[in-house]
Amino acid sequence: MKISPRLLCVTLFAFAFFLPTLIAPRAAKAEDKVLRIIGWEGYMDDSFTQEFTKRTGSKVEHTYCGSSDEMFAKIKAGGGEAYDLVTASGDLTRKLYEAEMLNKVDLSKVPNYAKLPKLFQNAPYNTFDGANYGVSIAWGPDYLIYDKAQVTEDEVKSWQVLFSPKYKGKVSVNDYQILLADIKLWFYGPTDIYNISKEELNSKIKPKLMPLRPQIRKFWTSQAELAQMFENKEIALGWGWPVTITQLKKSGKVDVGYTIPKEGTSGWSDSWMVIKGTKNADIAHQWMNYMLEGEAQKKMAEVSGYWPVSSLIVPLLSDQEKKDYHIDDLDAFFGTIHFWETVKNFDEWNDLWTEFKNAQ
Amino acid sequence: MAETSKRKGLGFWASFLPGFTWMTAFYFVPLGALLAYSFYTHDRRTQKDLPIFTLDSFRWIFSSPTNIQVFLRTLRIALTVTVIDVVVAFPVAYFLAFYAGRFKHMLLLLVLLPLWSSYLVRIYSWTLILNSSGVLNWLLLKLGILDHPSPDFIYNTFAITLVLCYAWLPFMILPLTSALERLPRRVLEAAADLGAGPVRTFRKVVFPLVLPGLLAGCVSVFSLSTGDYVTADLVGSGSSVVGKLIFDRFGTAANWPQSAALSLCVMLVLFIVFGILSRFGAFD
Repeated sequence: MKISPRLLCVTLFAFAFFLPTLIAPRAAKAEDKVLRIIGWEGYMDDSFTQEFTKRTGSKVEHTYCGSSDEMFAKIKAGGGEAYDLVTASGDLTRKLYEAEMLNKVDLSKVPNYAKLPKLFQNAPYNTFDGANYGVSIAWGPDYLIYDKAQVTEDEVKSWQVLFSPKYKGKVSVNDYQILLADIKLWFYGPTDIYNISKEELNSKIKPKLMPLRPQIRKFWTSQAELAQMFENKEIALGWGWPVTITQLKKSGKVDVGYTIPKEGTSGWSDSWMVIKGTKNADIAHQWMNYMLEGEAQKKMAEVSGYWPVSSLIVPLLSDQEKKDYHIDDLDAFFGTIHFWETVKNFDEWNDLWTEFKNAQ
Repeated sequence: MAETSKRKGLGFWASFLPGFTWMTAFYFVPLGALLAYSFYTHDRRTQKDLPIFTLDSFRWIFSSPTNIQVFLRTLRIALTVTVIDVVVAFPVAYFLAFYAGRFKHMLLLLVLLPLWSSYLVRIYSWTLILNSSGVLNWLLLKLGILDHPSPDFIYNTFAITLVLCYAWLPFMILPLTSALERLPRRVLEAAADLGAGPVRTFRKVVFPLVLPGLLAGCVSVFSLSTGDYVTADLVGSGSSVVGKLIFDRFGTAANWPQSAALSLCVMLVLFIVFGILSRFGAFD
């Protein structure tokens, strides 16, 4: 029988079309007693994972990610076959929930949950449709960081300093479209900043956003890169996280200040979440409970510079640390930060962000 | 007689099948998956890619001016890099082929040496050279050429082009050197005997004869530059190249169909370029 080339092509194409569903990525099978966590650097440091391994016999294997999107992409590809837990910020939590990638948390296996301040219990960023899908880890604000040798304290009273002609090509912000919410906050106030429609993106956000492009030296993609640019005097101002400040203070090469300008700021509140399909749910629950203990929270806070959530840490802290972590004025301070939320029309935000990055 | 041909058949299959299986598993199948994914439907709510045929991803590529702009920028950079590498590599290859003598092998080794270190390390070392407090600025300040450090050496298209030129230069020097080595000396002597000057000899004799080697180098450098995105990420300011765009669609947007469609377009562009070059003997 002679096979016509056309028929062959059609058959091959049809075969190829359904192929990916047949060979969807399957990561290596979980071994016994290994907890595989994917997420932010600093949440899986040896200084507190070793104690967990000693107590439970389970090793902790980590996969660090530089962004929420990277976590999502990796979980999408690997799922419960590859990871047991994720450290999700508020911009990712609902997205994971809606993509049906999460298991509920069994609070009876996390007794320390009761030691969380009310604020962090059943929090809106990890509780969906009345069910708990996460346990808080830490939180913090997005700071305006500045090089004290180049910028005065008076200038950083407002985020508008980022647009000042004086600092053209001297600014770095995260390569992350969530910053569109910050633009809305800086120019239009704190209402509904994570809810921006396509029309609003084009009519209100874009005109304010574009003047920022020539100011930017480089978009940072890891906190170490941001720190390095401050050290090399590439930039004078940066939008960044406490972990960068901690690192810069340790190295001491450049004297940086940090502040929350008058417009307020965005921030994040991170949660452990159990990934659907995991075979290590029990170990995952033990881990979440362990990470709320005072000692573990303290070490985590020291390594990462992120602020702890569990009340069990309070007796271990000095007065200065209590002040730094806003333990005493928690309710009041927490209210001033506009925490990341999952953006619904993320693709449209992404398109504007790509256009912004390429505007030069 | 029949036995011999049967044995031959076995030999054929034994040598053909392993290679074919390898190519199928690691080349044709992934390529097929890529092709298929570009026609999948991406569900925005659940972020899942469903096997439902659609042309949306291709429509998205051509409806966004940013995508076109990034494509053109990438091709422009790749073309610049290729041209610069030809200009730089030609004298080097000429020297290696005709004048290096007993040092030739050592010098060729030196050309290859950087390839033994990690590509990432080499890019990082360029950031140390180019940054505002880097080696280049320090040197220019010492020499009195600049009176304050210039920020213009890094985080822009210039830096991307420079680093790519450096990174892919060996891929131009090697095929050029071997093409020049194969050039018969008697042809050059004949040209001289017949009264052609150096310029004319180069234009009419050397150039046409080494053209396939030159084009082979161009193919390597051009395609490597088109596909690269790490360099743009590390020494660029954030403006994308196509590779980064694909990476972002795959990672940030978790939209595999768009990412696959973009990859296909890049491959298509490269195929067209190769098609044109092969007419001039790039793959001979």
